Amino acid sequence: MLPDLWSSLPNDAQDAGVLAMLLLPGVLIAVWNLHGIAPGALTRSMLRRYLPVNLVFTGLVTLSVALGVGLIAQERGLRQGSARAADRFDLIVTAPGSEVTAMLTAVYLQPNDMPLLGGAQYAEIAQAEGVDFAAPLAFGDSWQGHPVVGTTAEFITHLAGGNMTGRMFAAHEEAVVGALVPLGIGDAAVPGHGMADLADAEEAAHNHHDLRYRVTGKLPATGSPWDRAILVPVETVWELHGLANGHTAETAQQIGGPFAPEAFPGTPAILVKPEQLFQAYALRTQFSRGDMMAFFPGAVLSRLHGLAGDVRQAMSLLTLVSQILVAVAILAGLILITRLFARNLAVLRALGAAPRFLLAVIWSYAATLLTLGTVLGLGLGIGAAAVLSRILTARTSIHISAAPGWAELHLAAAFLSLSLICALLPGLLAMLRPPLTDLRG
Amino acid sequence: MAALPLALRNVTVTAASGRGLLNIPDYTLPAGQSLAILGPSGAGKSTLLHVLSGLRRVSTGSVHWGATDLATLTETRLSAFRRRHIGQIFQDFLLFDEMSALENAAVARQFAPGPERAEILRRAVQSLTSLGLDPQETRRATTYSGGERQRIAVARALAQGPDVLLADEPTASLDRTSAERLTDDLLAAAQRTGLSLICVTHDPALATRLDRTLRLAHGAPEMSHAA
Repeated sequence: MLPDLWSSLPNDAQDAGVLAMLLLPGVLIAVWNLHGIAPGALTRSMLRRYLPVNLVFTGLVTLSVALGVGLIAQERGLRQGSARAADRFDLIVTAPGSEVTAMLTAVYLQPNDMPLLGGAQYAEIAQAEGVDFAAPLAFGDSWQGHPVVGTTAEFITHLAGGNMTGRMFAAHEEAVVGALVPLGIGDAAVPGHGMADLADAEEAAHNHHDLRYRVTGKLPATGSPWDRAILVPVETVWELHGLANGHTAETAQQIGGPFAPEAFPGTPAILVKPEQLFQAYALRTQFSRGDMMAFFPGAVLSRLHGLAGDVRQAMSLLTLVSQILVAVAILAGLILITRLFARNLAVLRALGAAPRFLLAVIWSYAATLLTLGTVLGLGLGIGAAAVLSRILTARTSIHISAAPGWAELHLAAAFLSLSLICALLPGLLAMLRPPLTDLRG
Repeated sequence: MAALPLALRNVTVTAASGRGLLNIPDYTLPAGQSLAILGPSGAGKSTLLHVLSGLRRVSTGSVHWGATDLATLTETRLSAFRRRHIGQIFQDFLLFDEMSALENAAVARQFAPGPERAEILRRAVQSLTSLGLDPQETRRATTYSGGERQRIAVARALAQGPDVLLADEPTASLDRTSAERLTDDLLAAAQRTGLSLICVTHDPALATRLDRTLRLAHGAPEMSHAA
């Protein structure tokens, strides 16, 4: 009954429930400890008296929590960002080799030397049953650090999801640019060989092609490295490198498929869009053979994420150990501070405070530091992850968002509750100490 | 507030080492009277004061405040008894340095039951005022002079509305003028509220102004007489 009710709840409700359960021990201790008494002024007194030590304690808790929270937020952001970037890539076919290398090249536009698929192979894939389109890729040029990628209009339309500004290229010297390319419609760009961002003007002049692309369209942001790419007809890239352009003499001016197998110079990767989702599996099986391999980028990513998950678990364990060490250090510090405050506590006993009141004073003092440190750590961890995400996004063009999630809240709540339970110890020790010993000073 | 008579019956206190610290066969103090406990260092004066406040348990015998035998009370009940009936003043003031005069005087408000808190605050304000201190002053207790700090400690003891005021060398840390002022204040407060006042002191000026004297030597009374 209860498990059914729980599983019927929306995810957010379940996460909120877990958060409430994690916080519950701390809340119950607070209610039990502070019910009927008001140790606020004495807690403030301790906070003021040991201000430098309190700042160090709070700082340690903050850093410890921030480390755990930042790690979780960053890892999730990276995982979601990389998965989102591969969303539009249904099936990739390359020459046999490493799927990871092929995925890095085709999806994340990382330059790699890859063997090429020939014209007959391309034609077989493009004409296979269930293939909506098969787009070849051609790399090798760049403009101001932005990769120039040769491909077909079908793939660009698929990538844009119907939201392109301007129009698709219709001539060899026309280009469509990604959202992060600093070119507008009508602007021109002269591509250079390779990916180098050449600073030397003379060297740059030697490396440049005698061609000027004119921008006709701009893609919406996809959160992938393709946002930084300049997309041009694949035929132009081949021609610029002295290769056949994929078409016979009769169709030399054609842009896009079908390509003539005998004039097809080769491609490192073919992006395949199946007509129906279920056909993707059949196509993968069909083209996974001795002379080519087919794979789903999502599946490769999933394996990589699994590996990253192991690393994350190891790092989470290290974070947990560091949190425990910090908690123990703070606990020891609190016990020492309690000893320093012992004479004041003995005065309270002499004035008629019950032993339980001493526990409440010490616990609420510790709880203030721990809660403050945890809240600041949560903020710092999320903030640091956000900053790191921006840096990574700028460097990789993969849109990484480290928005706060339930996992971070759960971690912080678990740490807080556990440390609030541990914080009872200094109070219990103070409570059991005979007041006369401390009253004499 | 109703003053409580004190009755000690065959009280002994023995240290963990087995050494006898206190041995008082029989002693009574009528409600509302004042008593000076005198004697050389190590005579057992402070031990007796701690026995009277319940901070120290007797090894044998009984300590009765009115009908209450302190030996029969649990720690929690003993704390409650101290809060309701016994005000204490210490030689070194023992104030909370970071708190203001009023926060110090009304500190019992923090551990008293809710209904008593307003009354403790009212009495703290009244006591500070009657002792010549400004309850509205927000500066820390450390900024006050020694005499002023001891008056804050007196206000703290009186704010609890005690039946008995126990003072351990209340004038020892003060100069002559401040000591005389404090003695006046203590006696005036005792007279005004009708509480019993018991002071451990080396100060003859204070001792001669109290109703009774109990002189201790080696933990036992030498003689007892009316002043």
